[in-house]
Amino acid sequence: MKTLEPKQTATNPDRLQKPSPRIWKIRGEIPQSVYSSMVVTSILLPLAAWFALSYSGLVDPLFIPKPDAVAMAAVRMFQSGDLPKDAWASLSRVGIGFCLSALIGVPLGLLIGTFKVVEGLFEPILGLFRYMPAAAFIPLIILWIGLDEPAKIAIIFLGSFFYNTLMVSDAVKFVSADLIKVGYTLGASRRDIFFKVLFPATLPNIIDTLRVNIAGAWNFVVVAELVAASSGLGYRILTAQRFLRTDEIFVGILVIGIIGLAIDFGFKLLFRLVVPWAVDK
Amino acid sequence: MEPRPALEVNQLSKTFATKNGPLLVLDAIDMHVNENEFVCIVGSSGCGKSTLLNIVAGLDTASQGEVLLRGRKIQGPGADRGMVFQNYTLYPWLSVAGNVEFGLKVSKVPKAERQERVQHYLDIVGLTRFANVFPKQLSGGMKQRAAIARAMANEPEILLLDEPFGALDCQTKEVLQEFLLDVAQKTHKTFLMITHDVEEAIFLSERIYVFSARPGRICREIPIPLGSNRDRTSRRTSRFLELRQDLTDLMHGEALLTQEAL
Repeated sequence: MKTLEPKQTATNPDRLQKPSPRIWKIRGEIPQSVYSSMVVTSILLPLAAWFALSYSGLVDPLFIPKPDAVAMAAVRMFQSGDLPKDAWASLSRVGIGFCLSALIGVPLGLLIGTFKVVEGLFEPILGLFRYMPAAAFIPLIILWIGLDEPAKIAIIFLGSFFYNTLMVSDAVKFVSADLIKVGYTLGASRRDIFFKVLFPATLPNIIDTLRVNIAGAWNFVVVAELVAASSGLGYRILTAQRFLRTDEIFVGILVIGIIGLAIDFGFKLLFRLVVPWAVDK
Repeated sequence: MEPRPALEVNQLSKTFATKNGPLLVLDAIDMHVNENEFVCIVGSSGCGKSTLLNIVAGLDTASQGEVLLRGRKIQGPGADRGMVFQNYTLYPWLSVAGNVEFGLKVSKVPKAERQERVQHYLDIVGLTRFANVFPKQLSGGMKQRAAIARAMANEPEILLLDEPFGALDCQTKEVLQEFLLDVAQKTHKTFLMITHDVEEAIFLSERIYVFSARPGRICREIPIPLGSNRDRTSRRTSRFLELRQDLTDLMHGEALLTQEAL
């Protein structure tokens, strides 16, 4: 009887995995020092490129201003009071618009995820609106609401409401059916299931959804301030553009970025404080 | 006259609608669980035993027949039937004590009594030291002990256990079986448990219903005359081994029939 020759057995050296280099192990842990140096590199490298390009004179300062010019512009704008005023104007617009969007979107999303009736009523239409760019609604918003603050808040609201609602409703649908079943066998009413099971189970996802979407809303502030604004970081950038003040544009963009990062950090902190049980480590 | 059983299942059938027409999963089930009795349903996967337990819990409805709890017809889920699931179902946002307290809170039990009962049942399952810990910090066995305490804290008329130790490793499983036996002996509650583990069923129950699959039917009712003074050494007695052998053979035959029918 002919037996099969074991050509490719597991111990065949050709088939054995070579030990992978330590830092390239898939999803592997790396020493903290390596990680930190990567972070420092990621910040220093673009900075170094900026310094090199601008100070070497390779690029016209009109395109890329020198770092010291940007720093000077920042100090000047801060001392004149413009920068804090603009930052506050933008923050309050996004704050009000996004809070409204969350105040309506989160409960609505919870209801969509809980009741099929509400899902049928809202999900298809919201899904459609989600793909309509909020910026394209600006002419209509001006026509309906006017040119004042409410118009800018409405743009922020439109830009985040559909995402907030649909992402929260999805989070509810991901709650394990067993958690609901066990609640019923413990004597919970439907009301209890909604408030004492679905809501707390979804809360980590709600906070994360808001964190992701406020980034979008904060980005949108520039678009919102296209509408006859007289203050705000977006307005400042547009004015600077008109006078070819590239240094001020740089300052505006950097400040938007830094505030955004701070908001993100705030939400991560909120997550740790409110839902410590959902923190991974 | 015989006392009325705690739980009665009368001529219960369940049909699921599928793409290929109606599928009968439970066929005219007649069974009962007496007061303070520990009964197991054993059967291979797909024999409808989980569906039956869900119907008893009120989480699913029967197509025909009825379930009576102390003579009352079951209409939906309720705190009078506690349930422990195979998957870990502790609420991750509540501490162990908070989980045990959940049912008492929704039933509006006064705070002082709540605390007393939480303490009592945590003590029974030996988790007093872990009262303020989140479930994610517990091992699998401890999670199931907490889930049992949570179900018992409501003081239901019957405890329904859906393969509660199915996800545990062999050693932990044995320890938890002995733990459950101890709890059952101490508390004199009524238990209905589902399992496919023959040894587990014999070790814990006073009576076993063996299910055959497709459609789910009761093919045998077996009393387990091992008495009420069991402990871990009971597993090694010749009586136990004999029962295990018989039940294993029976289940093996059923499994073969099911496989051939496919």
